[in-house]
Amino acid sequence: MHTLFAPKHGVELWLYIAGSLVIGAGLLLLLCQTPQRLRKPVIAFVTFLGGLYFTLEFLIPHDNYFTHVMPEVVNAEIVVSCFTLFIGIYNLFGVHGRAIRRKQPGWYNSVAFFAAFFLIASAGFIKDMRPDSAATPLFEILFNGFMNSLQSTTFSLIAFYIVSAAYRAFRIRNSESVLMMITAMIIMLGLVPLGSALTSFIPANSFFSFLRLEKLSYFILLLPNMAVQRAIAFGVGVGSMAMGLRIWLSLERGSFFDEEL
Amino acid sequence: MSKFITEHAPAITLWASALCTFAVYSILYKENKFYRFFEHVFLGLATGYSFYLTWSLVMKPRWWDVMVGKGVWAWAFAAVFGSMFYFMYSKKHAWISKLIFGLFMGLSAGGIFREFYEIYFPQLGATMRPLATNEVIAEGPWATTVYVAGVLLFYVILFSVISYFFFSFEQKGKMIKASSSLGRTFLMIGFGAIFGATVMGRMTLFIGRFNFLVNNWAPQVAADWHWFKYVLPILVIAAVAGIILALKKKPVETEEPPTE
Amino acid sequence: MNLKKLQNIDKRILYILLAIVIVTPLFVRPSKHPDAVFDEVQNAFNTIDNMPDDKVAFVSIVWGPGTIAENRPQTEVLMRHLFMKHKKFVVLSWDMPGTKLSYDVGKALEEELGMEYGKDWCHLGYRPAYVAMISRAMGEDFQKQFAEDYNNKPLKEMPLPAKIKSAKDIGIVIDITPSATMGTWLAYFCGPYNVPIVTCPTAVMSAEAYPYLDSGQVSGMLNGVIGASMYETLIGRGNTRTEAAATAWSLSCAHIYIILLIVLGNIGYIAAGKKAKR
Repeated sequence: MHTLFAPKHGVELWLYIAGSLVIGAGLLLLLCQTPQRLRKPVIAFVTFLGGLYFTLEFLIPHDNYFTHVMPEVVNAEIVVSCFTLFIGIYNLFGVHGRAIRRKQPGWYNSVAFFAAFFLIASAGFIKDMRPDSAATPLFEILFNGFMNSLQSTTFSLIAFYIVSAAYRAFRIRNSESVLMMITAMIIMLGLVPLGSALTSFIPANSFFSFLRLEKLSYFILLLPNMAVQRAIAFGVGVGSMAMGLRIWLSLERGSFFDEEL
Repeated sequence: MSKFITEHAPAITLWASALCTFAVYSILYKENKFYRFFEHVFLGLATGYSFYLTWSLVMKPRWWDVMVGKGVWAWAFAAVFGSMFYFMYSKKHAWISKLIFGLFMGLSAGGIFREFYEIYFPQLGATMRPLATNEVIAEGPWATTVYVAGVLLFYVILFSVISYFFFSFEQKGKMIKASSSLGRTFLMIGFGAIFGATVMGRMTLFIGRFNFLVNNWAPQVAADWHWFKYVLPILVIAAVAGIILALKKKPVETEEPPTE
Repeated sequence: MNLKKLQNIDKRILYILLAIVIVTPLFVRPSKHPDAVFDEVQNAFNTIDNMPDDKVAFVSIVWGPGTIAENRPQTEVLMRHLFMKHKKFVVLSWDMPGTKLSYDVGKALEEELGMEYGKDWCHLGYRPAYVAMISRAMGEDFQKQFAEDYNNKPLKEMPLPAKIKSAKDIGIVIDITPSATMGTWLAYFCGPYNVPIVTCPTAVMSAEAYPYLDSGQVSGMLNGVIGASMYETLIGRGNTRTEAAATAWSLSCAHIYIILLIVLGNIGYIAAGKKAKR
């Protein structure tokens, strides 16, 4: 066994890799032949095995076998999951390739998509192979000049919508909305320097110092907010425990679990 | 070309950043082709970058180099397992992809015991707090009163909010109804705090972009082009004219981005 | 004047006014930082300051360009503190673009403060978002989990990362994040190996962290860019013109502007209600 899994080199290595792929393909062919009635139990069993690993790793006292092999398990999981990258690329290529082929409205945007994809990917690979080439500054331009700016600007758009939403939706309709609005205002003012300067005329050591905005907002965060968040966290904790168990034991229902196989 | 890129990379980067910023903000006025073009450029760049990085920082050093460079041939099976995801495109054998998805879901679900133990058990411990401690009592009656009031308020808020989330049975009794209603009121304080913090977070992102325009791009432009200081007042006048025009016209509805 | 109109101001006017409001402090760039320093920021400072010199801080980067305005100032101020105190640290990114961004922050500070890569700090590159499993695995065997750094250089060739064997060598975890990774660190690394954690969430996530600060599971917190500006005061940069300080003052103006808008909207709402009643 030890000799079998020992590192191989040269032609022998490639033969072993080819052999592994052939065996793997054979196993997949075998899976394709699985009768329909056995498919769901097989998936449930594999899901159970996956969950069992971490359950045992937790339940068995520290320094157990499962903890020791964790680095290998994680490595394998990362590598296998990285193969999913091509699913996203395949879908995007399909959508944009179709748009160009059929000359759909805005097809030139799809051309821009392909150009951007190949430009940054090739610049990245070339800069790794030849760091002194023009690919290095080109990669910088594409990353910092375009990608970074586009992503951060797109995210910052939400600021405009939150202003619009606060202005239009925060109305004094009932006592609860008033309470929420006042709390939000105190937090917004108390956390920023100009806001806390508004009540800085109240002496810091006086009896009324608790009315200073920074102290009031901090009190809200530390006591009422903390208690509310903890109550919500307990709900989330129990809910995720139940959900975890349902997934582990394949008891969960929904499109993924109920679909005909 | 390559010489030009190498020599002018910082300037090109600066201008590209400004161009992208204006392109994205143009959607705030109305839907336009300029915005859509840069949206696709972003999509292409993000996908291309993910592809490059996943290969060069994960797949190559952890899989390819180990398998081909160090000769650990058994890693070839990772490709077999990875290929199982692609069975989702086959109508007949799509269930094979569920096998590998199931394994990953099981691995995630299996961590729930540890998560509950490490995250929520200490939370339970911290919840069971005495009304007062010896240290607090030693500080005097006023400090003790404030402390006790704080602890009592904490318990009232905690239990009333928890009672609001009791969906397992119908909330019939007077006591539970009152507690649930109080919980709903306290939840508003929590949501108010979250909203206040959210406004702060979102504004910071916007300020970040403006900080770039004001403190990185504009000074560079002003240094390179002395006539920029004459153009700036024109831009400000254009902005004011924009406000006046907007006052006269009906607002143009734009597609709002999904919020997190 | 028809007060009813106050609840229907054209949104483009709101946007332009918002831009004008926030841009003024950015032009001025005040050096003054917030006067108040919240307890959680002070505790974060103390925890990092008291980390034993023979241990290494682990800086976890979950942010990318989307939240760069909040998380980069946090990263910068924390790395600066670590460098100033000669505390060694390693950085790992869970976000693809965040990998290069965090590397650039470290590199810029390294050059400014005359530090040495591989000896004073090291960037471990990028890992896909399996925080739970990777953190647990690195607690057991660090070297097996991280063989190369950001530049694909073997860790064994650098003095700092070569000496990290397991969780025993890590003195603190600093999680700079726009998402809920704090719980994962608590469950899989900080809890089992008893390592303190300082969390640096975006302001959006900060309200949810208070129960964990109260229970002592989290040692300290930098609440968005405001937390970063408070931290700058603690490391002696309270009178330096920084991005965090300018942002704090811009935020002040923006918040007051939004509150005024809410008040105006409600005046319009009340006026419209009264008119309808009549």
